[in-house]
Amino acid sequence: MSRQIEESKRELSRVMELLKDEPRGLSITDISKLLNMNRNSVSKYLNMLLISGKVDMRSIGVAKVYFLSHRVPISAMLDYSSDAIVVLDEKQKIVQANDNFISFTGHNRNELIGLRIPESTLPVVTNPTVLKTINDLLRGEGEAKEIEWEDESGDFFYLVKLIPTVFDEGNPGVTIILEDVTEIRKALREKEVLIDEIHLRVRNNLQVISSLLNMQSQGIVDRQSKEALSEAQRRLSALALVHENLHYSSDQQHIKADEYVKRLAEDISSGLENDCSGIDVEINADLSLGIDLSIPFGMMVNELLTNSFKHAFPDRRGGVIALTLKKVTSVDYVMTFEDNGVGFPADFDRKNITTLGLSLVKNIAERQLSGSVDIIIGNGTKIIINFSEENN
Amino acid sequence: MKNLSILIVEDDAIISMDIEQRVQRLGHKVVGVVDRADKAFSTIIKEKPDLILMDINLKGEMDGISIADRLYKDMGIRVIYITAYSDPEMKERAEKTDPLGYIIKPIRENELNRVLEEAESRISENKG
Repeated sequence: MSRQIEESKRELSRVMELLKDEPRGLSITDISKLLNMNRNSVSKYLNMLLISGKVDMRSIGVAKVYFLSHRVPISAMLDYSSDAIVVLDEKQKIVQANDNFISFTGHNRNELIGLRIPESTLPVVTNPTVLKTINDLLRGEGEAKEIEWEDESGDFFYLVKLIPTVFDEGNPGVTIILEDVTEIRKALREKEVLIDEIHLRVRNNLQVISSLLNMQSQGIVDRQSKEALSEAQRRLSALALVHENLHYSSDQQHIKADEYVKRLAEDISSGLENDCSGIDVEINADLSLGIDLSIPFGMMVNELLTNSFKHAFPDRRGGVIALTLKKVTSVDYVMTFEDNGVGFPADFDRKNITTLGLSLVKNIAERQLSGSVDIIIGNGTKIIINFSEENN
Repeated sequence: MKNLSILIVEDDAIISMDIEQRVQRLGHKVVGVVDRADKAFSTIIKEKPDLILMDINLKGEMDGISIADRLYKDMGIRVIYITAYSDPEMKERAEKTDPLGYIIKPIRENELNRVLEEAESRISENKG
């Protein structure tokens, strides 16, 4: 029996010696040939080495190839990490800490090992939320957790990862990984400041263009030319209003359609020469629109509203303009725009739109929003626009 | 509305020209157009305007709110802010100077008119 064990030991070390010289690994057949050992024995010894963790196996195609395990001690792994890592036992005492954690705390290794975290004055890990999580994990409650930590001055940011750990003897512990995310957080903050700055510049530039158009129109006597400049200014204002609403929205990415239309209608009606006080605007558009849809939507609504306010109710007659916006699928919308005014002129040709306003509406819907415009001629004006935010 | 004497503090020349013309068209008198804090203070002392239209984002060490803050604390003068935007923090700062109103850029004539009218009635209330 003991002779058999001796032989096994000897054969095991022969297999390991051979594998040591072949970092690319060997198959059972290779080993069998090189050691002049039968395949069954090779297979038996390899299984023993696999179970003890001294050998690893990898399948390459149909072949199975065996290697010596490349084992790195866990403490060496911890020191390779750029994060600060500390391991606590079930009494919340430090049993292991990597170099980064040690330099992070400013203590030396001897001071740290055996230190109980709750009684220590160590930074970050004694934060109440972190301490509570350590307790929860040691009691077996909850799973690995990430906590964001920020110092009071806002100068340092850490991502604290707490991982339940089990030691060899089966006792629970917790591994805490502190990832320094200061740089990325600061970069994000800078990005936000930059976005605000760009918003500001966009709106300031729109104001410069608006000012130029305004001043340009002052010297002009010709009514038609003056009106053309006013139209341009109105379009610019509708665009600026989208930017304004985007800026004031919580995420700076969406506008509320009904609020936008209401403001736009007020701006247009109060800016026109004709008296619009008897015209009511009913809006049914309780939807949020994304940044890509907001501008084309705003432009279309501006043209439709301007048209109705200017032409639908001549001689100060009152009336109603109604705009309804509905979402019919996750990407498709239907906007119905109506007024009970004088309607399109008798010679209006739906196929051949000549005014810039309606032409803008039609092209924005068709070319930019994969949509369609349906003009219904009857009493007053009714325009149904289908559009989609797909591909936007 | 009676004619007001107005100082414009705006560091963009084109925008300041436009505001000046609009204000004049509404029947008011522009007593000065300046782009910086020191010029604003000296013009205010010299001209004693009824109203100040103050851009918030000004170049230089003092922004519009800082200027307005000093005007409010030292002389009890309140301004109308003209701004391209205001974040909550900025709004909070601006509110402390008890402004007579806000005009959001791009400026709309009717809005300018409305804010000026409101400001004028508040000024005359205070005087009365």
